[in-house]
Amino acid sequence: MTVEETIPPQVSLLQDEKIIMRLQRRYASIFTSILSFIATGLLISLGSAIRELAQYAQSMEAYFWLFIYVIIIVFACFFALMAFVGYFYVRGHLYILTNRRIILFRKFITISVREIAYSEITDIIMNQGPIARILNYGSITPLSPGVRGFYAVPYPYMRRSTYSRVELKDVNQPLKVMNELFTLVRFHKSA
Amino acid sequence: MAEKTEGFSEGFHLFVPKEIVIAQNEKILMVLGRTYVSFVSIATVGLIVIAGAFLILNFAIPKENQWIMFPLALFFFAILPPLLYGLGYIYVKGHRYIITNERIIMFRKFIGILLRTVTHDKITDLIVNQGPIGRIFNYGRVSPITAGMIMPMGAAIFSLSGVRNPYEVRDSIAKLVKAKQPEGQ
Repeated sequence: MTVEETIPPQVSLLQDEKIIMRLQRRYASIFTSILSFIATGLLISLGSAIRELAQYAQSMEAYFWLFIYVIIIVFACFFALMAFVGYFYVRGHLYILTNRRIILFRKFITISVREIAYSEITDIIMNQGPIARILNYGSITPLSPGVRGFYAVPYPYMRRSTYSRVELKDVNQPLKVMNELFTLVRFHKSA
Repeated sequence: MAEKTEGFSEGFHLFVPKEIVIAQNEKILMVLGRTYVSFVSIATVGLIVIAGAFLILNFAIPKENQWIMFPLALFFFAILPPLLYGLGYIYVKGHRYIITNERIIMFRKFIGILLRTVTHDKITDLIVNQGPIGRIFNYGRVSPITAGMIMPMGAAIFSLSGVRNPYEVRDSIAKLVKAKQPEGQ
């Protein structure tokens, strides 16, 4: 199977356009997202849960263990569900670097395609979290005059849900990809 | 084809991190780091605010709960400052700003890695910010703004923070920007 055959039908290449790199999101990245989501959920709900438990202080021990079991079961089910759904979500991401442009494709329930010409790129931002550094994946955001504002902020806690549509999210060897991207931008500038 | 630059760059005392790859024919003009005093000033202001809040709490808290003040004081005044200043040192050392004849590379390695690269021809504005302490110690923040950023959110983007002689750095970048951009722009 050639590289051209593996691209989705929603993506069409121009004449003489060649694929240089075909990237996909790493499945491992979904686990860090799930864990941070669970941690946030725990932080928000823990206070009210403890207050609720405190009302039944007489039989605290029984309620405590029930609470712990419920928490474990709920989060285990949630984790399994997210890991299953996450697999298809991650598989739906495709980033194609051609000799003319970058195509960012996401197919999961909805379809989102973004194309950006190398000549329009103003900034390239690479962001790697602590776990991503260990597993060698990271996100690369090519900014253009058309994608601005909130999307430009590289800090995870300020991201919005649509952020994933403007970045090459959680790709393998991000530093290498970034350097390749810069080389392509440089080449198009001088051409 | 890109070449890897490791070790000390010619004429500079600062180390170019191994994560940064310099392209062929690209020349490093300046390697800058963040000054420790820029972090110390922010951390000190934060600690002063905490001390103020602690003082208010000390007067507001009921007598029967006064015991909590000792472990809190121990944490805020004995554990937190060395931890903050120590980690701050590593945080500051993780910053590198590399100006080449083609682009500005802003690099931060602290727990994670954040890397931003901007080519000179895409820079539209240069902003220099200096706080009161920055004015005394001659450091500041130089922000290269591009069309891809929108203010005020753009101000939060990764820039050359806490660099020495910010106006000299600004002038050096401005010269490169002028040289790279077509006439009349």
